[in-house]
Amino acid sequence: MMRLDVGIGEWQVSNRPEDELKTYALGSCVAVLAYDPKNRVAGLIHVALPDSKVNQDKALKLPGYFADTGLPVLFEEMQKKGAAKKNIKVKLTGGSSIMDQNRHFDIGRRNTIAIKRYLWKNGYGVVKEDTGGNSSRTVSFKVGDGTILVSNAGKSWEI
Amino acid sequence: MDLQKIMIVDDSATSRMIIKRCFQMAGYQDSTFLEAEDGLKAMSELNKTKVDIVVTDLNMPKMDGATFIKKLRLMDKTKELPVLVISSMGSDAMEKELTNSKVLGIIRKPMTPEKVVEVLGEG
Amino acid sequence: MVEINEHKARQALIKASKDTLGEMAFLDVMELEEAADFKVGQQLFIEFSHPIRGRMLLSFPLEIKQAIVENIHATDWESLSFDEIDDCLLELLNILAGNFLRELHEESVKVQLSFPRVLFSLDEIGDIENFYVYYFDAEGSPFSVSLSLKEEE
Repeated sequence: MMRLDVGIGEWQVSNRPEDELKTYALGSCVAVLAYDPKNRVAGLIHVALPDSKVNQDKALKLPGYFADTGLPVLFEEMQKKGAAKKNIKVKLTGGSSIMDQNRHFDIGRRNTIAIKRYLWKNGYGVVKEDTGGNSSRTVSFKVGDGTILVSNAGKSWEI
Repeated sequence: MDLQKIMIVDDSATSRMIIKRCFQMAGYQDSTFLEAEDGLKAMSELNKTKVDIVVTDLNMPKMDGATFIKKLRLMDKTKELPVLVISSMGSDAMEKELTNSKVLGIIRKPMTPEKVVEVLGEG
Repeated sequence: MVEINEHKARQALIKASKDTLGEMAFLDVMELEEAADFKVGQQLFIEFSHPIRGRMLLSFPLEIKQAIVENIHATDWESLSFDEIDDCLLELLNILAGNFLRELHEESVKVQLSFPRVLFSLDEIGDIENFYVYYFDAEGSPFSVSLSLKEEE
């Protein structure tokens, strides 16, 4: 087994059944987990903010940091590795409720909504969502069968 | 569930579009979709065409969803037809009443692909 | 008889607005503590008769109207017809009102709603001064929901 770790604003795509994609301590960030079960292609991106307009320099260096710049790259790469758009299903986790620094809005909630807006617009269905609350989630994603395990404080559950 | 033909009954064109898109995103992208804007139109369509499931709203002009489901259960052809209710008005009382009409479930609007998967599984 | 309390109505409306606009129109909605000024671009109206009698008026500026319709239809404003736009907004109000009534009464009752309609003038309501106005923010743009509730006789 090869473990591919995904940092904040990064993504990994794999079509090797023995691989496992993993990301840690999600907080208000959201992990978008996309899977084509027929071609066994999996993609995971760790999104930190909804919109790249707030920092376009950062978006150029680290497009995965923002929902609007990261998601197109994730799906493009999945298709390069053999995924068919019509087979791709998406699950979401993370997005804990944390206020932004000016205490104006809940970043986790806004991230989740921005991601779902992009997915709806582009025809990708969210078939499972485990977001919100106050926990910091770690998630692992098996390429071979699409199993997703979320864990927090010694507990873990499948989504 | 294997659903080749899906009939969507809702007076709002927006709602029919959303329901169809949710089914497609939940994996039913190869299904054929038929649409009707009220129970009356749906009944006449069902006389001509065989479908695998009816997905219906409740609050509709001409023939509302509850009457429509009752009528379906009276016809031989549609007596056993799977029915899924999608409504902004579901309630415990209504749920009990509809359970007696053997509906697969009641989904509360807004509709999402996740809610389709919860009731029917991925297509 | 159903008892109405202003605090409970407010909480139910906040929850219903956040859920409905978030899930259906993909807009992050928050309640505003104070009244907000905005140029009304669209007003929609619905009445309900069970479990309580009441009326709901949804008012928003053009930018929210456009964002809602574009997000739901997953397409650009220019490609939508007037009918599609109106139908979309009316369906949103229908769902918002249904969710509000269920939040208010913990899903234990049957809900009865009129068919929603587009308002061309507030004169069509008559006693607008009897409505409570609640203000919200949708990702930077304000809008309001006005409510008038009566206990059922």
